[in-house]
Amino acid sequence: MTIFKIILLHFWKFKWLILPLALIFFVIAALFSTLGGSDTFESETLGITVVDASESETSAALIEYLSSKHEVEVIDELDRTYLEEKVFLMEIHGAVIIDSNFENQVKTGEPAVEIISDERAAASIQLDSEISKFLMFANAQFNAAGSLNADTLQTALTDTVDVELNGKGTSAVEENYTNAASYSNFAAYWLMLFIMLTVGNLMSEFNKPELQKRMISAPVSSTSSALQILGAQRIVGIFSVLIMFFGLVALYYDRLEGMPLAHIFLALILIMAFTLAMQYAINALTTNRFIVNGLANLITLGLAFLSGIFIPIELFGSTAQHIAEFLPLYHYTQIYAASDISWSESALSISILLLYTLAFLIIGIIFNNQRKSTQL
Amino acid sequence: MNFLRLIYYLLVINFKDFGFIFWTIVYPLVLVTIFMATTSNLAVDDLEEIKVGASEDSEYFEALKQVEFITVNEMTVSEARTSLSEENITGYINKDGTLIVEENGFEASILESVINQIQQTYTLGIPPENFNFDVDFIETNEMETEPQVVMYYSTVAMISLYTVFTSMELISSMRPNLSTMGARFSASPFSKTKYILASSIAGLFLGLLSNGLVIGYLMIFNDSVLFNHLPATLGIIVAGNIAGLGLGFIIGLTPRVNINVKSIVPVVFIVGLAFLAGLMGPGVRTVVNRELPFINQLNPLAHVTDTIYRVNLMDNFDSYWTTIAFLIGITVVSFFITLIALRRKQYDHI
Repeated sequence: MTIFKIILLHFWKFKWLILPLALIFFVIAALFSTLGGSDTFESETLGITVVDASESETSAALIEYLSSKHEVEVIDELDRTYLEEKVFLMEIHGAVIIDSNFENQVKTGEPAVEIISDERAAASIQLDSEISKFLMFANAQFNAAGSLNADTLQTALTDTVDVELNGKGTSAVEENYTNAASYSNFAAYWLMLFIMLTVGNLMSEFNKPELQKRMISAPVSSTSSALQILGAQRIVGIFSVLIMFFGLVALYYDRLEGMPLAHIFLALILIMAFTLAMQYAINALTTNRFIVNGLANLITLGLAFLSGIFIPIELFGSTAQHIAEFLPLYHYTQIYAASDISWSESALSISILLLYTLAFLIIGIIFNNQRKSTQL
Repeated sequence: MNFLRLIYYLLVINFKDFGFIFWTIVYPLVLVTIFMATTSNLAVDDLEEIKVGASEDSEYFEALKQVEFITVNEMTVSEARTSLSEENITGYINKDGTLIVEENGFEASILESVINQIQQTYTLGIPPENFNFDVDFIETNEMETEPQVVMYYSTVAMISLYTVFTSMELISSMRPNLSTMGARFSASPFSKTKYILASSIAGLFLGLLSNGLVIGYLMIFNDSVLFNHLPATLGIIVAGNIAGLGLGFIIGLTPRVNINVKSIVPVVFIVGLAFLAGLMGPGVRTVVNRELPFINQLNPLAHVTDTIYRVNLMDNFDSYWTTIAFLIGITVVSFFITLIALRRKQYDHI
């Protein structure tokens, strides 16, 4: 059991890496869990920055109207570059500039506000249509009575049609599932990166010729050595899976309904096994830590992107979509593809992931034997 | 002459290491290629028209027909519910004026806003002749955002920090308690300053080469023009590479940690910073900037990404020198910490 203990001891060196990494992961996961659906209709809330140079009754009424539905920040100084940058960096949906002559322009029916936004975006049309409506109504009041009646205007603007969601909309169960799926997608990336970096660097040191030659002369059979290494790696892998899985349970402890937890747990175990098998093959090929680190990053990021972990697969071009269907991480996501998915529905993806694991194990064994024979 | 020869040897050593070439050149190029393959359709959702169903005798039917971006078709409620679930229409207006939509979203919100406007026009109680339906009350300042561009810029920013590996290796190799080379080095009369400077210059050269290749690759193969101000971009990248050197010095100082374990720290550190700066898609960056803005205010990689973005897409140089000063500041502070940590070290045994 010496090799087993030594490997685990080496893994323990990574504790200061695991803790912040896991913490960052859970903070980001918690951040994303705040974005959820709803079972009633809610108009999209826009982020708007308003510069009010007019400070008139009409501009106050416009700001009040916008604030009733959106997140509005009012600033005094007009800094066009700052506003354009906020729109460009997508920190807000649009910026509204109210001129000092605003009230007069509304009365005379001239362009009264300037909007900075990406005109192609749906958010921009929503913002345009809401501000146009307000200004048209205000102009109509000026035309009819010669003055603005802010109370009547606000009353009219709050008279809205009833909106019904077809079916049930985004139910709580669906929302729980979406949260669990997003978490599990991201957890796979974390798990793969962590395993490939730690196991990769540890084994690249372990596989160095000097150490291997000593091991050959040591009174430990190669089978026992392999089993001990494999056992230690599996224990670390399972420990990581448990952190991810119980992290999910802890984060959403009161919203577990609709989450295919057994499927997610199996998917995590399978992706862990696949990653270890792939890393075994990589370590049999190289002990260079730059290649090990480079491959760890490239494979995890590449697979995550191509499998739709970070960007929805529907946004890909058709070629990229076809490529995704051949990737193991895509099949990982298919194991828990729906809240009510059955085992028979996910059986194909489970089998594909198992076959990938087996294939990499075989490749690893072949390369490992070749490496050993050349070292002697 | 000796100094230049030392730089030359250090460059040759790195060039002969396939792993180093893979990590600094092959990996970024493959990554950028993957981005180009997957993000071609990521640009902002163009809204061309909203398809709406309406009951034959709906009071909104005629009014909606006048709206430029709305197409209205007559249908029954049951037909509409099927069309809604198949996402063929955005909404359906019932006989009683209620609106049915499939789910929350921008198109549904716009449709709701338009129908509200029709209803509110009646509620306002002002005769129709007072409404100026043809007047455009808004002056628009059109901008075209490109969310996927953030991913390319954060990749370039990430590579600019890769000098962290060179300087980390350098410091580790100079520590007598961490490497045999360090033990020999500390016993030799060779100038530490000269060695640090030569390694830093070699690292900087390799970093810039790597950045140059990725930028060249993006300029040739990417459809949109990403680098409108190339010299200014290179300036910020040089500063990023120098900051990477500084950060590597600090990581290299970590005592009694094996270089294999140590090399994971910058990998995770840089990927983490890149993640927050938008490498994995603009969504993460937007959420982080909204919920925890201080994180990216401290993130050097986000500073590099934002400045490249501002300079190239907005012709905005406001934060240019501040970012360069911030990045150089990281190096200066790191350099002093390193000098203090390395000077006058004595070991009982190695």
